[in-house]
Amino acid sequence: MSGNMAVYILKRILIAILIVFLVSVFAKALMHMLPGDPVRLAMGFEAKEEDVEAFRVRMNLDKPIHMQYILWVKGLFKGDMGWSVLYDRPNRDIFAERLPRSIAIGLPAVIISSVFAIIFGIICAVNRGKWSDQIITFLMTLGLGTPVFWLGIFGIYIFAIRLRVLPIQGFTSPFVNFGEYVRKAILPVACMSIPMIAGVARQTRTNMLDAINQDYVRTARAYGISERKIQMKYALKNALIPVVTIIGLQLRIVIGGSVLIENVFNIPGIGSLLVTAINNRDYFVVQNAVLLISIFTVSVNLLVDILYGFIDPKIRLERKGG
Amino acid sequence: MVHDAAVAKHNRLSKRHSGLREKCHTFFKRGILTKISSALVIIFILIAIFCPYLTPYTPYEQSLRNKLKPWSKEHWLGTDNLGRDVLTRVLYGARISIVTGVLSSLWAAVVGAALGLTAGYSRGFLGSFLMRLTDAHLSIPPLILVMVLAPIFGRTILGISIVIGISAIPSYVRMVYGQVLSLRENDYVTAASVIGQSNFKILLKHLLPNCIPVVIVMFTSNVSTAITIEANLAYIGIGIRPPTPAWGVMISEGYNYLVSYPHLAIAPGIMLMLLIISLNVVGDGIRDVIDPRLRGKL
Repeated sequence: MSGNMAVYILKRILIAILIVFLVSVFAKALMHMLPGDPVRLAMGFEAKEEDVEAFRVRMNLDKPIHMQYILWVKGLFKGDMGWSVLYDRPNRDIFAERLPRSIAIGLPAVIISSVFAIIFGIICAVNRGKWSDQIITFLMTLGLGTPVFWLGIFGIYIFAIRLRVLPIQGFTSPFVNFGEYVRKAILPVACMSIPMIAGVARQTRTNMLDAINQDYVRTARAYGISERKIQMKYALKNALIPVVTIIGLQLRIVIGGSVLIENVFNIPGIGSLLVTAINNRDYFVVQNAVLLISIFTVSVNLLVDILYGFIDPKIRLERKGG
Repeated sequence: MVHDAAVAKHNRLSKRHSGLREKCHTFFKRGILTKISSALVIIFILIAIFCPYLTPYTPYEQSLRNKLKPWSKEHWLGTDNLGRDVLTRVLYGARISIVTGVLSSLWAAVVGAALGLTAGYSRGFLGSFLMRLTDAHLSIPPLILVMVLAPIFGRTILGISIVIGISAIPSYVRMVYGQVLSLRENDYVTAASVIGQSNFKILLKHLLPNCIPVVIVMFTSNVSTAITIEANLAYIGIGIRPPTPAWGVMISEGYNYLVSYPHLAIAPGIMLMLLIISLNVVGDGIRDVIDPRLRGKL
């Protein structure tokens, strides 16, 4: 039994490493597919040819692509993410500076949306077909269909321009001034949460309805256990397992999915860094950002997979082949 | 007697599943929201086809003397910062969104279904390699992937549709792969293989037709996702190049004038929202009609 589990976990870890490797190769290969010369763009078109060449050598761009890849990965293991041509600073410092800002907006959004989504999903499933279900389902349809960036602009128009109760944009660190952070974070966090609430609530509703129709629920009913207890104790537990996966996947929004929100609200996080880097052809930032986001997603998936293996032996056996 | 009743019931059931009229009936029975959404989708398609005949202006016609005018008889939604008619640009935006959405879902459906079929039917190295590639692909969020790839394929409707299509491939691969794995165990596949049909023929004649319903359902839900991604890209300035009247471009340009001329950003946004929501609702309806078991998976 435990040996089985160890094999399962080992296999998952190996697959995760393979996936991250594939993504890193892709990220490096991108640099050669993208148009434009990053060094030229960074140094300006008036720069002298020998300066450009010297910079190219410093950035290892004169070496063949596989050497560049090896040097990049070698650096990563030593904690060196390379140099940003756009900001003329080490990438590590840029990421260390911006990541906390993205987390300060993204993490509250994921937590708040998960709580609301599960509550809404349960309300819908328990009152299936009644008016409360219909209203929430309709709102979820609206929430899923509204583009995040437009929601943000609409929110700014209503709350900042018309009602003047919230600041238009910007970011203040919660450690510098917590009150100011909350005031500036309300709109972005809300705009980020709404589509997530809609998506997760929908999934919770479906799973909960599935669970309520299972045989064991019928058995529990036959035993005379109260309907409320059946729903909350037995059905909910089983309905929430897939929901946890989805919430885990939402976590990657903390790192990279916030591109739009950071753009609308002018928050200098990882998302807006990525947009600036792509627009300025700073591939050294882009390849690190893509890899970082991918490692994060893969780790979350890995954790969820391992947890599942512990919870549900059936999954362990099913996924053995895959 | 009992047998006849069973046969009659069977006939009735199979008829329910085959008749187009019955299907329409189940579709529209879902409620008022489905009816309104279907009407909206049809209106949007009509707008996309006939937009040149709906307005006397072109979306590129500038008139700096008439810039940022409020609504009037000549310009129902006023003009933007370059004096272009906002209503005209909003109408042409429908064309761009729908064409990009449909094209990109088409690329993704064709390539994704082909890869999913191959991965599902070929046991061993090729299949698992394709699935690991799919996993790697899925570990990058679609918007990020599209942002990174957009400069390679060019910022035209065709280029952007290819890029968005690439980002949607893995979901098709996964879905078709799962479908093929379960179909492959069926007796008729074994039988076909026993009588010596080639793998390629089995794929094409037996497995592909059974995957088509799933692909159709995914396609319909994918169009609205693709439209959202297109708008997202255009908004952050990596998508379709201005002055093409993509709604995302208009919203991003209108954002600069939000204080005094909010309708510049709000009007295309409302259109975008209506189109995406109605496509979602219609997509859900089609899913329920074609294969209700997919509910919750898509």
